[in-house]
This record gives sequence, structure tokens and C-alpha cells, in this order.
Amino acid sequence: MATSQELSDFLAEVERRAFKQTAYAVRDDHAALDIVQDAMLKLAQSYGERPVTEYPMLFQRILQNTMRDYWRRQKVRNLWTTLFSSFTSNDDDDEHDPLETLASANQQDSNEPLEQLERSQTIAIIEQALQKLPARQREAFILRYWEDMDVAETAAAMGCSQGSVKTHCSRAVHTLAAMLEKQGVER
Amino acid sequence: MNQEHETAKKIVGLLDQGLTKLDTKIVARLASARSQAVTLLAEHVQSQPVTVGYHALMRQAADYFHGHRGWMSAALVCGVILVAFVATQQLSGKQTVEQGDAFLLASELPPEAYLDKGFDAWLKHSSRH
Repeated sequence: MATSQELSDFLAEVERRAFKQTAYAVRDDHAALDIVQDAMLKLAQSYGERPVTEYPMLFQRILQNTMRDYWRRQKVRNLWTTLFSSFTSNDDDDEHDPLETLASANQQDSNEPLEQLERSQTIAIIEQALQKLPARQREAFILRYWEDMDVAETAAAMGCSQGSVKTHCSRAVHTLAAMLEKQGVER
Repeated sequence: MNQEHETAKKIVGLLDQGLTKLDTKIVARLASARSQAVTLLAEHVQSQPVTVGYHALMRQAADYFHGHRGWMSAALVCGVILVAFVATQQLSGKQTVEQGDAFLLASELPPEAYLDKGFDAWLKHSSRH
């Protein structure tokens, strides 16, 4: 059984990546924070007695399921909103399809040194490119390369075959590389 | 494949750099969520100390017996043999004592003595004095 300290250390290690991963998927920082918090609490409540070595896989499964719950709730909410908002303007984001493109927004400070600015811009481009990826490709890429899971672990976390993981990862890397080249970023 | 892996690692390296520039409010919120999760785990553990202890003890005992099954079987057979031996000794010893008492009592007065009319008269006469 994991101790409180082990749980704390594990969460401290993964929480930022989990937030970013969720933010790429749901495109809303506040919702992403809520989802990560829910996932943390579920891990502590339901799987606290498991050894800490199982936490990465468990946490990823919980995070993915919590994201899916979020999308289901959004779908239901959007249905009701659409039905009852015929008198209001429809200029907000009423389509929350994760596969859609988000408008770019470079949030970096303009007074940073040139090198840092370029790096920040590159990161922003990559993050936008990640958001544009199909959900399964993004999930596979993040688990395989960012969470540093092997192919088998990624397949188990995603609930698909290892072959599918390899295909998703390969396509994701090629798409990201192509996007970077298109933006003039050196690979 | 290697090219693909290197590209992925380069991208991940840049993403890691982006993590260090997270907004302080987001970092604080994540730390708060982490703290809540740790507190929840501590409460969860404290709320079931007896159950956890009992189950842990039973699991340990089961694991121990399962791991030493051969030795446990041999010890059980030896125990049964020992109990059987002690019980046999107890029962047979009691019977031996009874037999010994009967023999000694019978030895004091041979059966012929009870058939002798003169001895019977002498016994009555001597017991009066």
C-alpha cells in the first residue's frame, strides 16, 4: 500500500503534465483543473491501497475516463443550451469537438529576450499542433513519449492493441513534424 | 523509426520546458488538489484500521501457510501421532493401575481363605478384640 508521502510525490511529478494533457483535450484551463483534481481524488479514494508502482497506469485510466465524463456532460449541456438559447446570439463555443482547431493565441510576454521568445513561440506552436491532432493520436503520443510509457503500457492505458498505439504514435509524430516545418520551426 | 523517436523526444523536451512556465495560479490549484488527495488517502486509511489490520493479518497468515505447505502438513501429522500416543498411554496406564490394585487386594487374602470356615471364625473373633 502506498503511503501519503508516496502519493504526494507521485502527484507532484505528474500533475503539470496531466493538466497540460487535459487542457489540450478539453481546451479550457478551468475544466482541465477540475478534471485533474477529480482524477487525483479518485485515485486516492479508490486505489489508495494499491502499490505506488501501479499509479501511473491507474492515474492515466482515471484521467481518460474523467475526460470522457466531461465530454458526455458537455454534450448533454450543449443539447439543452441549444434548445433554450434560440433568442441569444450563438457566438460562443457551442461545439466542443476535441478534433477541431483552436484559434492560436500566443500568451508570452513581448519583453522577453529573443531566444526565449522564439522558444515560447515554438512551444505554443507545438501545443496548438497537439490540440489539432485527433484525440487518439494525441493520447497515444502523450502517453508513449511524454509519460514515457512503453507500447504495451500505452496500449493497456488506452484500451487498444499495441499495433494501434504504434500507428497512432507514428501518425502523430509525422503530423507534428509537418506542422512544425510548415511553421518554419527546425526539427 | 529512430528519426521518428528523435523528433518525438525533441517535441517532448520543448513541452517539458513549457511546464516550467505554468501560471502560478494553476500551479497553486494543482498543489491544493494534490493536498486534498493526500488528505483523503489518510482519512481513508484511518477510517478502516481494524478491517485493514484484520485482513492484512489473515492475508499474511494465509500467505505463510501457503508458502510452507509441506512443513505445515508434516507438523500436522506429527501432532496427530503425538496426541494419539499420549491418549493411548493415558488409557492403558489407568487400566494397568486398576489391574494392579485388584491384584494387590486379592493377594492379601487368597481366595481359599474365604472358603475356610475356621479362618472366617478366627477373623470374626479377632476383629472383636
